[in-house]
Parts: sequence; C-alpha cells; structure tokens
Amino acid sequence: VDGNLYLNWLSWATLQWSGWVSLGNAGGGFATTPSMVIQQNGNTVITAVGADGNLYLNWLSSTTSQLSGWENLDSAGGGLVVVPAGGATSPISQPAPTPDPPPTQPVVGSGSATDCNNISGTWTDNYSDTFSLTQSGNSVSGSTTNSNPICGDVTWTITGQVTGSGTFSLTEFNPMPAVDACGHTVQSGQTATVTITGCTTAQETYTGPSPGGSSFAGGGSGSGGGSTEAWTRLAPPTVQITAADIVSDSINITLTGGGIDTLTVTLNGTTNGVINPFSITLAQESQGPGTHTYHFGRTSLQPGEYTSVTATWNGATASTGSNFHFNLIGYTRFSQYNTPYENKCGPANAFAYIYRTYKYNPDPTGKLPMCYWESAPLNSQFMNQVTTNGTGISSQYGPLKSWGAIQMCGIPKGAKVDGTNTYFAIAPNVGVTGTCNGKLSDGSGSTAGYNGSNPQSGSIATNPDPHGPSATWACSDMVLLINSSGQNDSRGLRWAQDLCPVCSSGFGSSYGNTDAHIDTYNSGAGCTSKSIGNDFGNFYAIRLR
Amino acid sequence: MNHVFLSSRLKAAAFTFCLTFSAFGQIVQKRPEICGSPGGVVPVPPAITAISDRSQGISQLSLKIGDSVASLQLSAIAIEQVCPLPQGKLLVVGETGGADNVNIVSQTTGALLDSFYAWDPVISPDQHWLIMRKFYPVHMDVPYTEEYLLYDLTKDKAGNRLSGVSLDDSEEVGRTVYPVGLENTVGDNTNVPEDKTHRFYSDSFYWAPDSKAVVFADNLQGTLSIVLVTVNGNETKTYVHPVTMAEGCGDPSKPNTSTYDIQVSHPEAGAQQGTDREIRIPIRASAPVCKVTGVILHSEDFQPAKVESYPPHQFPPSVRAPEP
Repeated sequence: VDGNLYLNWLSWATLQWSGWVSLGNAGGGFATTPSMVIQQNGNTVITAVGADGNLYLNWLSSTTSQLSGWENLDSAGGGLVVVPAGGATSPISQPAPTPDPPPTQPVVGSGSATDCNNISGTWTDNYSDTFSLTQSGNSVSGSTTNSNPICGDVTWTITGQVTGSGTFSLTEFNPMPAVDACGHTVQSGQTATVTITGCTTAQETYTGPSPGGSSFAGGGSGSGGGSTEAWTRLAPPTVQITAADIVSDSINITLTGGGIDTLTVTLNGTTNGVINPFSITLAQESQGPGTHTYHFGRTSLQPGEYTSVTATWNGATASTGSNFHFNLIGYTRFSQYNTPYENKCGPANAFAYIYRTYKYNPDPTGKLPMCYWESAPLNSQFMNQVTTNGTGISSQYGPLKSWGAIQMCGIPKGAKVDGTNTYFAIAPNVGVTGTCNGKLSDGSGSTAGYNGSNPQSGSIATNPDPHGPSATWACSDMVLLINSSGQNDSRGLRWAQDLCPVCSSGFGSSYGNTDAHIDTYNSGAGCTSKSIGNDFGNFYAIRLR
Repeated sequence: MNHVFLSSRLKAAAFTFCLTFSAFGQIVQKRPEICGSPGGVVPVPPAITAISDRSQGISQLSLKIGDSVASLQLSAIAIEQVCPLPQGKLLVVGETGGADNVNIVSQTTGALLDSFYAWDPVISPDQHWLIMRKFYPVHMDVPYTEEYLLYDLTKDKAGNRLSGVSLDDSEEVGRTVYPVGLENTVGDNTNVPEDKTHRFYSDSFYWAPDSKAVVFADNLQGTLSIVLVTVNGNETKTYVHPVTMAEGCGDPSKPNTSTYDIQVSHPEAGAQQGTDREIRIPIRASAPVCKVTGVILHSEDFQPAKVESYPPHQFPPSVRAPEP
C-alpha cells in the first residue's frame, strides 16, 4: 500500500523466516511489479523498472543474508517499456489525423453597375425644367415639362437618338396644352443635342428651329439656336444585384436612377459535357426603379457549373463576383449508411486481435509500446462488418477500425493472415471518422455516442473520394438538397466527408431516373452498415464550393 | 467467413424450407454486368434460392441437388447476382455494404469452393477469367490504391493464390495485372504513398468479345489512363494510354487532366486484327469547360505499363499483452 517492496525469506540454515523487511522503492516508485529469480548459487535477484524508466536491481546474498540495496542499471533504447498485466483498460485518448478543411460557407453573390453614358433618368436644367428620359438601345423617349408660373405648365413628348458615346439628339413635340394659359400657341419640333459630361451632369445645346416655347430653349422662351444649358440628374441608372443566393433561391435586384426599362436577369454557366458557355434567361420584363426578387428555377436547370448571375437594365449590366458559383450535380439518389454496432449483432462468439496502441493512438505515458495488442471476444458478424466497412462500435472497446483501414501494425501472430480478425481501438473522443478524418454526423442534432451531438451539417460520402485528387469532390464541399417541389430539404445542408466506393453506380432508371448517387451518413445503430433500410431520398443536389 | 451445410435428409423439411425461400428468396440479378452481360438479363439458375437477413448481414443460399438441399450461409446482406459458370459452378456475388462478397459454389455438391472480397468483379465472355479490384474497406484512415486482379475461374483456390498465401485468405486472391510491380501481398493496397494511389475511373471493366483483352480507366494522381490488359493463355501484359486533354476534354489548351474528373463509360475493345485491336472509348468530363468526346485507340497508342513499387511496410514489433 505504501509503494514499497517487502521481502520475507526462509533461511535454509536456520529454517527460520526472516520477517518482513522493507526494500523501499526505486526510481521514484515502481512502474512494474518487481520480478525475482533465485540463482544457482542461491542468491535472490530482484529487478524492477522505476518510475524514471530505469531498471533497478536488488539482491539478497544466500551466504550473508544481506541485501545489496537498489542499484540503478539505467535504461536502454531511450527508456524501458512497461507492459502491464491485467485486463482491458479504457482506450487512450489521442489525436487522430488532422481533419481536412472545414466546409465552404455558401456564397451570396452581389454586384453593381452604372451606365453614366445612358441618358435614362430625370434631368433638371437651370430653369427647373424637367426631362424624364429613357434610353432603350439607341433610341430615347420621354417627356419634358416647362414650368411657367404665369402661363402655366406645358409638357412635350420627347424622342431622340444616340449620336455617339454619351451624345444624343432630342426632339420635343406634341405639347400639352397646345395653347398655354396666356393664349400662346406652344411650339412643337424644337430640337437639341445633349452631351453627358459626368454621371450626373450634361450639357444641352438648343438647335432650333425657332426660339420660344421650348424646354430646350431655357426658361421657356429661350434665346434661339446655339444657346446652352447645364443639366443635372440625381443619379445615373444603376442596377444592383444585392443578393444572389442559391440556398434561399432568391436574386434580389435594386434598380435606381433610371426610368422604366427592360430588366433582363440571366444565369450563366456551362453544362457538364458542353464546352460552350451559355446563359439562361431567368426574367425579362419592364421594370422601374425599386427592388425586385427573382428565382433560379433550381429544379429545371441542367447539371453543370454555374458561374454568375447578370442583370441588365437601362444600359447597365451588373454581374455577381467571381466567388459566386455553384454546381448542379443533378437529380441525385441519396442512400444511407451507418456504423455497425456489435450489440446489434449478438453476443461475442469469436476471438479478435485488438491493437490498443499504434501511431494514431500511442500511450500518452509512453509506457505501452507501439503495436500493443490483446485478444478479446467479439461477435463474428460484427467482425465481418467492421472488416468490410472499416469502422464499427464494439461493446467492449467502443470504436474499432479494421486492420486494412489503418494498417499501422503488422498482423499479430496467430491472427488470420489477411487481417480480417485484427482491429485497432480508436479513442472514444475521436469517434467515427470518414476519409476526410472528421467526425461523421447525420446533422440531426441528437446525441449519439460516437458522433457527438450530430451537428449540422450532416456528412455524406461521395465518389470520387473527396479526400483525394478528385476535381468533382473535395472535403470542404457542401451540398444543398432540393426536393422535387423546389423546397430545400429541411434537414439542412450536407458536407462531403467520406468515400462511397459504390456510388459510381446505384442510380438511374431503377432509382427514380436519378443522375448521380451520394451516400448519406446516419448515426443510427445496426449490425450492418446498411441497417438504415430506406434511402434518404432523391433530391436535386447542388454542390457549394 | 462462410459456412456450408449439406442436408440429404428431412426432405419434407427441406421442401418446406424451399417453399419459404420461394416466398422470400428471389434473387434480383441486379448486376448482370458481373456475368458479362451489361444491360442484359441473366436468369437465376434453376433450383437456387436465397433468403437474406439484412439486419444481420447474413444471406442463406440454397441449392436443390437431387432430393437434397444444400445451404450456404454467406456474409452478405443480399445476394445481388448469380452467374452460371462452366464445370458445374456458380459465381454468387453478395452485397456487404462495402466490397462485394464473391463466392464460387459447386452446383453439383453445394460446396463453397472459394470465397473472397473484391470490388466490381466482371467475368470474361468465355467465362475463364474474373477481373476485379482488390478489397479495401469503405472507410479508411490511410491512403489506399486500386489494385486490379485477375482470377482464373478454371482453377481452384490454390491456383488463385500466390504460394505462401493462405487458402483462407479472403483478400489476396488472384494475380495483379495493374499496377505492374504489385504482387497482391497482404495489405499492399493500403497505407501506400500518396503519389501511388490509383483510382478506378470507369464504371466497370470491359472485356473484348474474344476474352483476350480487358480495358478500364484508371486515375493516378490526376492523370487519367486507359488501361489495356491482354490475356494470352496464362500470360498477361498490361498497357496504358494516358488520356490527353484534347482526347478527354475536346480542348487541348487545358493544361492537364488533373484539373478535371474525366469518366470513361463503356469502352469497347474490338476484336484482334493481326497485331492491332481497336478500342473505342466514350469519355465524359465532369469539367464544365469540356465537351462530350471520345477517342479511338489502336495498339500502337498504348505503352507497356511502368513498373511501380514502394517499400514494403515496416511495422513496429507487435507486443502481446500478458494474459490477465
């Protein structure tokens, strides 16, 4: 109890017991149970490894009955390894391989564009005349109002043409009223040229044919051909994609500064297998300033990589930045897999070889050697499942991985030569991991022994392996699931975390005319990795990267 | 792994058993490509039924032999395909949730002649060969590589294992045809150097009609290759053709295939014509800038596969815990 070694020996000479004699301890305490041998000459040799890792020796002389006291024999090979006797202890908590990158967060695209050389907008001259103009291609239309506190307001219709970059020729006609309140007949057919000099400034030159009665002529009466006026407008026509979000299926567009014009919203990308980029028109309709919302039409898109949303209005084209993109994998079968549990297979009926320590799970005290194993009973069906699946939860050890899944120690002597009854004990805190080395989750939020709290986002297994050279899948990829009604799956996004070797098949006409196959992790327990019988469902799958 | 039971008695019980099987024991035959009939129909040989317990991962295959019923318990959650073979044998492939559970069964005695794990086995048209990928677990912590194996269906267990490999070994079965240099030793396809990790990039193996060649696609660290294995008697030779971007993507300006995933589907190996064999390969690139394309290759387009090797695993000595 006090950590010291006690010895009691029988003397051949006297046939008397010596009584208990304390030998004290060595090296700061015994790290092993001391061992004792009696040599041919009758001397008793006691050895033990101290807590300092050195070997200590104490011997009792058969002739003098004297103890030598503990002698430090030092250590070899960097320290002595202690192999304790006894049954299983809890697997040791150690880090597993570093998990691959965290998931990509969905990108909300945005962009803005202004066309200062587009004349669209509401302009005002020095005389408070207003010009509401809309440019459509090379044509200009609109109206102008001349405010006269004495003879009343007159409004003309305006037409015009683009004559160069930022230059226009305009004509006003059809005055209303034709005769103003002072009895004057209002002129029609007055013309002007306008040159845009800045986003909010322009210079207008009255070009005739006769003075008077024109907004172009300044103050209504004008001073004849050749007179100039400065125009200003509050804002040039601006189209802004404030948020293009494939997850919420919304494209929010804010239009300012222009008049009513055709707003065209397009989704641009490249369909898988087609070399030429293309654009899909999502909306094309007349819109004035304000905020407008459109949708992607997610369930009618073709599989492929989509790289931008553009919106064109009043000559300005806004595009989402280069960080906005998504890939429609297609209508996808999501099967389910789980981790085998021994307690769902039945009682232990066979023996397995369990590695307790290895590269990813060394003994933190440094006393247990690498590749330290023990024999333990396991259920044979469970063993088959762990061998083929790679991972399983045993009743005694918690998470196990098959020999082939880790292969950091040789096959123990006596075990099956193909390694099919050799396993590695995984530290419980490491839990169930996939090829990306992260803990697998089904995203349900429910606590499950070796899956933590199953946080969002749930794990999926893909083909090709996300942890590898594949361009299709990476360990940071997220997947959005959309049902056939166009609604997001309420169980949330999924995260590529594992390999599904069989997912290059298992889709097509036999599975609801699906284009692809992804395996979804489920933390439910079963004897086999396919104990969750039903598929997760068929969804339009969009990869977010 | 599997167990055989042969009952020559209790005919009534066996009859009842078979009735039970007939209710629940239909074999779906969902993977006819294994039998060499992709897209075709391979009927279940007569008097064979199976019943599966998915929850326990066990399937029981029953063969009616004369007045007896032989039952085999297989480590499979379902029997997916049964292929008749010459010499009164059957190839029975079961689903495990991971690799295929491949069994060779005597139709005349009900004996289990061989049983092993592999991925995507496909029988040659002359039913002499079985090409497959070596077993590895579904979920792994260490890098793995594909290792393509050829199994001689005319030989027994011993004839399909290297000398020194146990007859009970359920993974090191057949001989390696690619990567050249691997020898199908225990665990030689897992925990391998990252730059040696081959991946299977076609949806199946495709045999030539004369069974003297099989083609498939393989990706080694981003380089896609068409692999051609020729079989002449007992001798095999392996050739590769690295797919260029012009072939794989229709756009030679793309620098290399590592940027894209290019899948090969249904390559068609034509008949031998002298020293030549034409191979038509439809290629579908997942890369958006690529277009659907295809190439026709001839024998001269292939080069002998390079020998690949890496040092055998060196493990720390295994230490057994003392008995309690």
